[in-house]
Amino acid sequence: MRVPPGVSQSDFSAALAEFETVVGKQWVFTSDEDLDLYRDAYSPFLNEPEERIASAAVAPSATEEVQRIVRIANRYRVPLYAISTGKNLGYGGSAPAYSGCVVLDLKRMNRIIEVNEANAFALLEPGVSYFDLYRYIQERKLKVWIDCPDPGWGSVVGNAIDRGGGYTAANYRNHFDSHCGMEVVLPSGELLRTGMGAIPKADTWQQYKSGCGPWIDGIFSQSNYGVVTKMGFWLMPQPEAYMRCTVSLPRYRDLGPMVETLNYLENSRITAGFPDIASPLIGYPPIAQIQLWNESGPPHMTDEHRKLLTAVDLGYSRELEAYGLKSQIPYWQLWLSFHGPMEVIEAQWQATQRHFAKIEGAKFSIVDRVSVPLDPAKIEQFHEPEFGIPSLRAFSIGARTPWNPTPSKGHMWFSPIIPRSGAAIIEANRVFSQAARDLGMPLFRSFTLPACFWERSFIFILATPVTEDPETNKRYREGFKKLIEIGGQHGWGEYRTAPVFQKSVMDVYSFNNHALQRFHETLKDAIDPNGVLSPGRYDIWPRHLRGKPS
Amino acid sequence: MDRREFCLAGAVMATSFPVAWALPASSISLDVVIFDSRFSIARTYGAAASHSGRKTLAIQGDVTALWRDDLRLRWAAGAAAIGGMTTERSLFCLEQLAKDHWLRVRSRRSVPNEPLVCWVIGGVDA
Repeated sequence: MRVPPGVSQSDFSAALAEFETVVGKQWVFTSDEDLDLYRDAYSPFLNEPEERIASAAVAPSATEEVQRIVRIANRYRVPLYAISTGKNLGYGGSAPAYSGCVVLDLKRMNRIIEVNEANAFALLEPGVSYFDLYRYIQERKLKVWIDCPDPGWGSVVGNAIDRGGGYTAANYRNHFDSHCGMEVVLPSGELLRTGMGAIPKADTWQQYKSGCGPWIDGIFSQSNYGVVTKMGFWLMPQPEAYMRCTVSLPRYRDLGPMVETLNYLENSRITAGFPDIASPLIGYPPIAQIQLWNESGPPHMTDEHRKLLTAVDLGYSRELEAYGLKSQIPYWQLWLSFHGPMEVIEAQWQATQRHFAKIEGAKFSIVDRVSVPLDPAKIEQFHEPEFGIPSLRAFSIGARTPWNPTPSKGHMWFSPIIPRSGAAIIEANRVFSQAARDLGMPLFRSFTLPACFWERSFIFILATPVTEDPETNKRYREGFKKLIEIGGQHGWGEYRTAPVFQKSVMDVYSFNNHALQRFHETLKDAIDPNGVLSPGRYDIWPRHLRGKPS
Repeated sequence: MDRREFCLAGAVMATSFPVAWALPASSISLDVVIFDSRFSIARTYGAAASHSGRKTLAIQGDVTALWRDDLRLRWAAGAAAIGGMTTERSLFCLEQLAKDHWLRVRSRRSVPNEPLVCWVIGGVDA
């Protein structure tokens, strides 16, 4: 039997026996075969001694059981690591940040407590997946949409706590921002409700976020200050129609004005759907088309075009631009989507065109204009998550196809936040592509475009492969850390990362001699003096483990 | 289940290699057999499984509909062993989904000269 570091065999056995009295023997897992299920399938330490491994797992079915487990863990100083469904592959999966933790697996807590159509919200337990919630809504024919990541197999609560994103309208895509109210088991075992939930019998828990006084919900995301056992979410009323359009721009220099115009239109809510920046000339697809490209291959490119692409600098050469102008291939293409009554989105599209028409040579087209709900027979023509429909098709991206003959064994997401400007896109490409070349990392090879999950910033989301070769994985890990450091030197930080990189990422958030980190630790010491909850998550360590290897 | 040999040579059908090689022994209780119908050998495998009385379901790489309409409900109702011949990627996806029900891959073998694996997913006691 594996034993958590610093815990005696007898104490651990006693704790496990008490866990069994809480949840039943069948929901406490200690065999290697069972614990293998909690390994991170994309671990950058795949099959190496440093891979983060659990010592046991316990799966409660109710909040009260979580409270009892946390109290037992305190009594025996057994570290727990809470997961919802553990599907955040590329960001750590279900493996603990600190080897030897007992995984507190919440997937049996899978009740959909309420979906309120009139006020468009849901109240969920952490084991509810996007598929579960979608099905619940469809079965009851409720006219609300969820916003799901891609793939959509994970927990709604877990993804929000990890600050994941989706693909529908701007005010729903940021999953943490669209939550409203939490129930949290504190490290002491005490139960807390945030916002209006702190008022007994309040029926506005999912209608007003902050309540009165300090609004503390944020400290329970990407942290280890409590176990979230219920969480409310605002849902999007089902729109009447959906329209997807493109704005095509002919010149490299149009990137800056394109972003500025997009920012104005988004911040004014003239366009609110997921904006997707592509470059047909560079051969860079919109996110929504990646799986189609992978399945069917990229659009045809002439030999001349391909040759020109080998000689670009930061995505540019005069010759490539001239070729694009001659061949009517846009340098940039912005895919925009609109949700709402048809007369409203038509008007939004008109206004959008008027603004982009200020850029010389801008061309416009409507790709799709459909009523909602979609005909189920046609949904596969679309990127399902843009309609709030969970899908697993994203896995085709990594599948072996004629266009991807050697798929990797997994990946680590490198995902820095950069400013929302064309200049920042080019500067980040300059810095990261040079660094990636120097480090031998398969990232930023030609020119990389950011994603627009969040309204006010850009994010690069780049997969660093995990291979079966430990030496290659080691080189990529070290390179990944170096990229984090280089990004930090330019003011760019990751929005989320796997446990193995959390220290490197948090080191970048260093203003005033790491005041933020020190505040995190002060909170940790006050809230969780025994350090039993998810030690090391986002580099927040309890006092007795600080400075020690994980 | 891992102590049994699921990919028995010549176990079931008088079909050509590697279908018979790949098909689980008829004594093994599988609730459903999955095959990727984009591949000829997998279609043959599916047909052989069907001929041997097993319920079969076809996919084309993506397992979304299989998960949404069948496996999610099947596994929620109880641990059900399933087998199949798919790409590694489809199996990876199913393997991760199976974890939600404390099920795991009990057998996994590459199909020679094909980008496919034959596999069985089940519980500890299967």
